[in-house]
Order: sequence, then structure tokens, then C-alpha cells
Amino acid sequence: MAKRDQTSEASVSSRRRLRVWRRIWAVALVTFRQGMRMRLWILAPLAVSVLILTDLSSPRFDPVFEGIPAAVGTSLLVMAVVAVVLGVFFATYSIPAEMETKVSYSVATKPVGRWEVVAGKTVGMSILVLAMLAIIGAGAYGYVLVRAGGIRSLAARRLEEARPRAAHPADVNALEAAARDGPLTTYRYRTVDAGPAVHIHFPPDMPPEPGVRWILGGTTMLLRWNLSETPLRQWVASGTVRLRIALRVCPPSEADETPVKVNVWLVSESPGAPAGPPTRDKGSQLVRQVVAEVPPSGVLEVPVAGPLAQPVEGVLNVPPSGAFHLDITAETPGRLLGAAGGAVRIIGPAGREFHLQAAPQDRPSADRGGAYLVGRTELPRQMAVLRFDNVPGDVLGSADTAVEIRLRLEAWSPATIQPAAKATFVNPATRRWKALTFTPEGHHATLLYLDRAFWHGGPLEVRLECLTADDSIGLAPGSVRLRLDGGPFAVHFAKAILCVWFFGTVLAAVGVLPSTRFTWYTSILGTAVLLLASFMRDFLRGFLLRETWVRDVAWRVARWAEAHWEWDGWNDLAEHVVVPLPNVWALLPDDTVSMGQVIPLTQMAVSFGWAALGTVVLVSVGAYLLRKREVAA
Amino acid sequence: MQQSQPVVTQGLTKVYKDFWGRQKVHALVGLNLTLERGEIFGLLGPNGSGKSTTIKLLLGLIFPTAGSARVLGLRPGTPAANQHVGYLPEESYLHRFLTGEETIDFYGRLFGLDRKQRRRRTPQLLDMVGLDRRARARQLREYSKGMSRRIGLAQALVNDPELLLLDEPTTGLDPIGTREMKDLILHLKDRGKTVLLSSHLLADVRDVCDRIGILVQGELKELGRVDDLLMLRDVFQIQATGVSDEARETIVAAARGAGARVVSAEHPTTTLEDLFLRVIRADADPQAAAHHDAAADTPEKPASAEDHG
Repeated sequence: MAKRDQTSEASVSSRRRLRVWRRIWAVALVTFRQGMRMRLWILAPLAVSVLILTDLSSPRFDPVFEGIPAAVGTSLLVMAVVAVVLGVFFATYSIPAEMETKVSYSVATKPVGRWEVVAGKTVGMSILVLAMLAIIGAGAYGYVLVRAGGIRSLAARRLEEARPRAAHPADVNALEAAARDGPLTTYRYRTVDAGPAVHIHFPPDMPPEPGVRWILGGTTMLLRWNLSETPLRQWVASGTVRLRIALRVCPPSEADETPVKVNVWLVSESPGAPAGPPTRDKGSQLVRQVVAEVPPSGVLEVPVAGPLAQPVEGVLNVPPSGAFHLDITAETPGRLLGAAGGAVRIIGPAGREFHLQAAPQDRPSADRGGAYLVGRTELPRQMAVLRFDNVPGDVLGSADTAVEIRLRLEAWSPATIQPAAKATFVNPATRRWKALTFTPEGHHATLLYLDRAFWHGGPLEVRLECLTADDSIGLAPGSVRLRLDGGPFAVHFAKAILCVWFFGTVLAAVGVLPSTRFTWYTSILGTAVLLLASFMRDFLRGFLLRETWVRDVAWRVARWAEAHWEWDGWNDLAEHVVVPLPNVWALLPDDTVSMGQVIPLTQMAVSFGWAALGTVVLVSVGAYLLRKREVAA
Repeated sequence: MQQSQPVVTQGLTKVYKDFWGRQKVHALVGLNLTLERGEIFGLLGPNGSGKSTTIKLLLGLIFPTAGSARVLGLRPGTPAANQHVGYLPEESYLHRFLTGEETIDFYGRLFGLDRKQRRRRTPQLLDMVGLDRRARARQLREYSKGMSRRIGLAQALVNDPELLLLDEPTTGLDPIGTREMKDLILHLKDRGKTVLLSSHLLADVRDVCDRIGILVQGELKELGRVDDLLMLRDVFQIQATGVSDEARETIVAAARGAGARVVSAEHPTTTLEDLFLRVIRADADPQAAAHHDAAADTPEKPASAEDHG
């Protein structure tokens, strides 16, 4: 009997849930019909026309490699704009319009919850956005197909012209692939597991000494010691302190007339952490730099003063708070500078001395995980090392493996209009290596092939060098990738449209939210301002950071907060001036699709998750606001 | 949802406030009202007397400033209460871009009717309110005022409600429509439904209501049965047919002889509405009109006998 009751209760509950969805669906359907009968669909052919005209009228530096990415990018941008227009205008209009025309009297007097109305409206908008995107997407896809036909034949013509003039055989690989496969090929990529780590490629007659860390002059490599745990900060309070650093120079200064010039820095480890009240120390750098020459003895002495002392030429200042370190870079190109463990001594007042035993770290002054390689025709030379740990052979397919290298050219001088780079592939399993020289391109990736006999899965090391003097190339972890087959273009194009749809759905929810409380014009204005602020969030932050008074206020707030709550992050917060706005634009796919790359399912899942969460939160708040509102006045 | 008193209000008060929260209008002041199941109750009053405010409070469209109301034993405006309530606003506030059929289908969905039920009920209701096939396929923005009232009534009846709240139900209707609306209201009463209607068309209220309440500036000034309230207790009237002139003089003389003051002794007039309907029907169907004339002296029965369930 009890079991029968439970079954009956479950059945009633399930019927109730079904009714709820039926009501939400009814509201959604009416909203969709309203949009279509308001002739919003006119936006679709208009958008297709705009995207075609925009794409045709935009000049492309290299149509073979940029044509399709640009066309797809323009299509997605136009679709995003349509999603914004629908989200901001129609979503903010729908509920207030029903209030004004008193249609809400008829709906609110039916057995439908306010949240069901808000949810139904949002779902209806979402369907409307999807329908519009489907129509625009179909038009855009047709246009992209037409463009692709023209680009393929252009690639074939360009290949005929480029082949005899290519400086290296590998230079025409990318063009060959475009002519062979067409521009609509999509790829999955596998990025490196480690790197880039910058090392030095020593000449054979200059073997590195064990235990010594080396950096190369004229590059951004540096030697670093952590001085936070030393008594340096305490000692500077009672007088001048000197840093005595024992350095190795190679080749030694005796052999070369030019002494090695070095930069010595004391750097706070909290990037941008205030070094003192900005009003008192306006424009001060957080680091103090001393330029010196390494004497023939190799022992360099640098005086150090307290944090708030007046800056004096040739004297370093200690950062006032937080962890800090000592950095040394070498300016003289081609000279090697090294240091071993125990190279730094701190000579304090009254003959006190502290001997730092730690070895220096040798690292490039890497920014955001990337590195710059300064070009040299001769050794020693900088070398970036990147590593694939263990690539399964079955993902590589049956053909030769294509390695895509995308480098950023940092210098373009007339003398080196065609820079040269070298990629050396090392198969650690077989101890075989393969070196390929190529001309790095600024506007498209270089394609290098590894045949199956050399490598087909497992670990792989890639070493990159810039061979042209006065040039430098920049690279990041994503600069070296294995290019794998990505499947049909249409599928990935559809996936990108789905991401725009997620974005449009959130925008619809953003638009619906204020409309539950305000008139449609107030809602439109509010939503537009919010979206604009979200879009310009980084710009806004940058603008605020340029203002001294903002930094001053932020610094004071951080000091006050630090006095009340113990946390290491206050300085960072103060320095970065957080703008507390969610970045809804992050839901849009970045240029991965436009570069012919597949949007990973994980990225889609994340986009969907954020969109769903955002929509649910916005709908819930909207429903709460509407519940508290009188429908009739 | 059997409630012997479908509507109960106690001290129901509504004060409209301005943007700054200052009290602006006392729209309803301490309304105590109880409706009995199966009765037709009329709320009368001049414009701005609080009729529509009362109905909106009973529907939960606005919230009371003081006092309380129960509709079918439930808090007004809740989905559970709305499940058994039908509402016809003073103007038909419906989605103008939907067709007549889509409108009824939409409201049927909101009441949780499944596709089969909606397919059966939609044409039934549209037939009942007199919207033909062509009208059903047109969007509401193309409807005349009368057609809008009809579709509004259809949506109010889509759930076969226990309680109907009709705000100015005959406004905008032609005399035929008015008569049909009144007939329908009486028919609903016969089916045990409770109807609360507001109107300032006094003749309409008199024709259909069992009880009335008169609101003036938000206060209930009069409440009772229509017959009782309208009865002139010091006047006596005889209505008879086949009375000759002599007999009439004899009756008048007898009344005077008995000490009565004869106020009037003349042929009664029919209502303008009856006259209009007779003319229209005679033009459309002479035989039916003759039959209708013959039956004019007997009380009318509801024109529509369709099953609303």
C-alpha cells in the first residue's frame, strides 16, 4: 500500500513538473512568435548582406591564409552583434511592453508563476536568437564556400610563383598545404607539455662548466637571487650596505678588450606592489637599477641604501616591503656571464657580512610564459627548448606529422628582411635529431614535416634558434604545435555559432532582468551601459590605473585592509584596481575558429556552463523582482 | 475546489502611492464582502469608485495596503487560486500578434491542458462566443472591439472556471452581443458558477445580478439583493393583458375608493434593447422574430445551451 502511495506521489510530482515545462514552453513560444511577427527576421538577410560587404571591402595582407579566417571572424562578429541587438532591445522590450499594454493582466491571472513567465521569456528569446543565427549562419556558410573556391586556386598560383624563390624548402610547405587541401581544412592541435625554456647553445670549444649558471649578453636572460631571507633590509636601516657579487665571464675580459657591462636590479616580487605612498614617491620605480662593468677580477660591488632614501646614481634601494630579489643581466652581446652558488655576499655596517649560499636561477625575463630569442649568426646563441612528453602514435594518423611553428618577429630591419630560424627536432627515444632551417613568417604559421621513420609518437624535443643578427623572435607555449586532422569545417562552424548562441542567451537574460522592474527604455539604457562597461572592462582598468589619484586611493584602501585582515593579496588588488564586472564577452569564441582551429568540446562545455549558470542566476533574480512587483497600477 | 464562499474580503483597503511613496489615492477603503457560491454579484459605482481595484486585488494583480482577501479559500493571485478563476478585463488585453485560435491555445497551455483537450476546447469556445472560422485565423490586431471582447471572454472561460470576474463585460458590445453576454452569464449561474461583475451600465446589472454592491469613492455604500434594493414599498403595480377601457377605469376608481393615490395608469413600455433586438431579428429571420414576439411576455431562457465543461 505504502509502495503504491509512493508511486502515486511520484507520478503526481512528475505530472506537475511536466505542467511547469508546458507553461514555460507556452510563454517561450509566444515570445518567439512575437519576435518573428514583429518582423525581426529582417535582421537576418540584412546581417548576411553586411557581413559580405564588410568582408569584401576589407583588404587582406595575405588572402590565402587570412581570407577564410577573416570571413569566418566577420561572420561570427556580425552574429554576435545580432545577438546583442536582440538581447538588448527585444529582451528589454518584451515584459515592459506587456505591462504597458496590460497583456500581463491576462497572463498573470492564469495559473503561471512569475518565474515561469521570466524563464519562458528568456527561453523564447533564446530560441529567437538561435533561429536568427541559424539563418545568418547558413548565409555565411554559403559565402565562405564561395570564398574558399577562389582562395584555393589563388594558393595554387602563388605556389607556382613562390617555389623557385623560396630560401628554404620548408618555406613553401604551408602554401602547398593550402593549395592541396583548400582553406576550409580544420585542425586539432597538440601543444607542448613543457617550455619554452631558454638555454644557451654553446660552441663545441666552449663546454659549460658544471655548477655555473650562464646567461648570454645582449639578451633578456638573467641571473636571479632571492634576497628576502637575508638581513639586507634590516642592515640598510643603520647604514650603507654593499653587495659583493662574484661573476664569471666567458670569454674572459682579458681575451676580449671590451669589458662586460651588466645591469643590477633589486626587484619587488609583488609586481607593481606599491613601494610607498604614491603621493610621496610619485613616479618612483619599484626597482632600482645600477649599470656597472664587471672588473677583470669578476667581483662586482654595488652599494645599497634604504627604501625611502633619495635615489642616487650607482646606489640600489631596497623595496620597502614584501619579498624581493636581485637580478643581473648582461648587456654586451655574445658574451657569457655566469655565477655559481655562494657568489653573493652582503657586507653590512661595522664589518658584518652575510654569505648567500644559494645558486642563482638562470631564466629569461619571461613574460606570461613566453620568451624572446635574440638572433646571432654564430655560437653561443640563445635556444628555446620545448618538449612533448608522450604523444600517442594513434592520434598522428598515417601521414607525416606536421609541426606548426608560429613565431612573432620582433625586429624588421632592411638588412634582415628575411630572418632565418632553425628548428632542431630531437627524438629522445632513438637519440636521432633533425634540423630544418626556415624563414619565419609574421602573418601565417610555418609548417615543418616529420616523417614516420624519424618520429611517430612518444616524446619529442623541439629546439628553436634565431639565426639572423639584430633580429629577435618571440614565442609562447602555443607557438609550436602538432597539427592534427580536425574534421569537417561545417561542424566546427556550427559549434562556433552555438557559442554565439550561448552568448546571446545570456544577453537575453541580462536584458530581461532589468525589464522586470523598469520601463523598456530604462532597461535598454541600463543593459547597454552594462554591456559596454563589460566590453571595455580592461580599457576602463587601464584608464583608472593611469590616474594617480586612483592609485593613491587604492593604496590607502589596501593599507587599511591590511591592518584589518591578514592577506598577501591586498597589494596586488590595489595595484590592479579590480573592476568588478563579469566579462560576458568571454563567452564568445576567440579567434580559434577563425584560424581554422577546432573549438574543443571542453571549451564549449565551459561556455555552456557559464551561460547556463548566468542565465539561471539572472532569471532567478528577475523572477524575484517580478514577484515583488504589482502587475497593474 | 468547492467553497461555499468563493470570495471573502475583510477590511480590504488599497491606497495608491506616488513615486516618492506618498499616499495619493484611497482607491478602496475597508471593503467587507462575501460572495455565495452560484450567485451573480454586481459591483456598481461611478468611474474611479474602486470597482476595478477590487477585482485586481482579488486577482493578485495588485497588493492590498490593508485587510485581506481569500479567493476560493486561497491567497489571491497564486497559481492554485488562478487555476479556477476566469477573468475578463475591461478591455481585452491580449497578444495582438496571435490569431484567435493561437490565443485560446496559448491560454489552454497555461492551464495545463494537453494537446487533445486544447484541440477540442478551442473551437468549442470560439463557437460559443460567436467567432467564425475566418475571424479565428486573423491576428487580434485586426479585430474590432466587439470581436476583441468575444475572444477575451473565450480566454476567460478556457478553464471552465468556478469563479468569473468580469470587469465591464458588456462594454464595447452591440445590443446583440450585450444580450448574448447576459444570457451567457445567466447560463453560467445555472451551471453553479459564481460571477462577480463590475459595471456602470445599471440596466445590465439589474438584468443578471442576484445581489449588488454600490461603491462610492472606494467605500461600499449599499449591499443587498437587487429586488430588495429596487423595490418601491409604497407603490403597487398590476400588469395584466386583455383589460378593456371600462375595466381599467373601474380598477382606477376602485383604487381611489380604497384611499390610494393613483400615480399612473398606462400601458407599460418595453426596453429599448428589446425593441432593437426585435427589429434586428425580424430583418434577419421574420418567422423566428414572430415566434420571439409571441414569447416576449414570458421570461427569457439563456440563448446558449452549450456545455462549457
